[in-house]
Amino acid sequence: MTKDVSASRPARIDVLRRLVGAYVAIWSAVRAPHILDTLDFSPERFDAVGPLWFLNSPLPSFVLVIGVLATPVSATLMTLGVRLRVSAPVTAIGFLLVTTYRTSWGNLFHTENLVALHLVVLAVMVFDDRSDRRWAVDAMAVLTVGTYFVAGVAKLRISGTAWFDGDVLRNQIAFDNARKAVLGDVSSPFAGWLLGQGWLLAPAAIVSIGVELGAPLALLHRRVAGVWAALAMGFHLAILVFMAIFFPYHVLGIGLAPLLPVERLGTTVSAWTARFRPALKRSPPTG
Amino acid sequence: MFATDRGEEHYLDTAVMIVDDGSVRRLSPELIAGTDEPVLAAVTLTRGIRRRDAAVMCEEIAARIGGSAVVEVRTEHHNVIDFIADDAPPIGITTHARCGGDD
Repeated sequence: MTKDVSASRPARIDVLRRLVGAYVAIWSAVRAPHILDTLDFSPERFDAVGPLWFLNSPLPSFVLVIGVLATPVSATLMTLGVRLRVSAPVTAIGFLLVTTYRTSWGNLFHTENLVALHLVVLAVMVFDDRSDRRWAVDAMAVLTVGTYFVAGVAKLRISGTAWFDGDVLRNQIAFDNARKAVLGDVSSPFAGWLLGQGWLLAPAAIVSIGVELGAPLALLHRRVAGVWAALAMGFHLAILVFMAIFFPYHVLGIGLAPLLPVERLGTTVSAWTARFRPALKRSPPTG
Repeated sequence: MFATDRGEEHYLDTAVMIVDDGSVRRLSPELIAGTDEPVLAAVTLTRGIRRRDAAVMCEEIAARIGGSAVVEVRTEHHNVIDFIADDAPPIGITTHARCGGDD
């Protein structure tokens, strides 16, 4: 990875910690009721996966409740920079626990994988006393592009060159929307239109796999990283529009943030505040 | 994700409410399986049908709806392209359980 792309400023890792921490705090608070719904599920539905592979039966209720309650609290503390050597690891473990548990009831979610990986890096990073923690930003950036690259390789391994003619993509879009429709869930109102545009599907398939396989190029130069991040964002917006699948961590830009100069966010906000503050002071009082 | 070629025809498990005129009203994942996740609801239905628990699931769904709703646990055979692009009806329907109403 070039120095140009990686943490040119140590401030980036602090911004990333705050962004990821805030995201996890909000996500885990919003999703808490759904995760607690599993307390009412029949134990026969439980099929432990990933880090919880060793479980033969659901967790005791109090363990799940503690995990669900502790995660947003520790994530908030992590965002605020409070007792990072405790709050960051607890957030990583808690998030991994609740998301793995959620996905151990027959539905493998992909949307939280990158969040969990980034949290593990941040949990390790807080034990590094050196001022230059560029390695942590580099690791998060590699994990981001790695998840896309692996998805692209999987498409080629499983579907081969058939992916490029657009039929695989067309069938995926149709199946996913149909499954939602028969279950009374929200499906995309634009999917029917897209499926009627046969000419568009092959280019869309090529662009999507190009974004995934081309992800490692984002590590070469910050300008390439910016272009790739924009393409990846467009990729997720297209998935949202045509498949009604929302990847919040990616669409909000947090998953892509390790590749971007997010350390400038604070400076930009301060500049805007400074620009408008005199105008506000000059404004005559109303009323 | 989205790597597998799923093909055009699928057997989709679901539960529906039959209204007075015989038409079908779709139910939410929450009513079907007590979850807001559609994939989880689908997995729950599929496992229940395989275990021959469709009648039990049907009663549970009817209880969640309340009143005298008529519920069917069924498998719909769709060409998903035609279904989404043209709102085509199912190619076939297999009813595993029907409950509620005058039961």
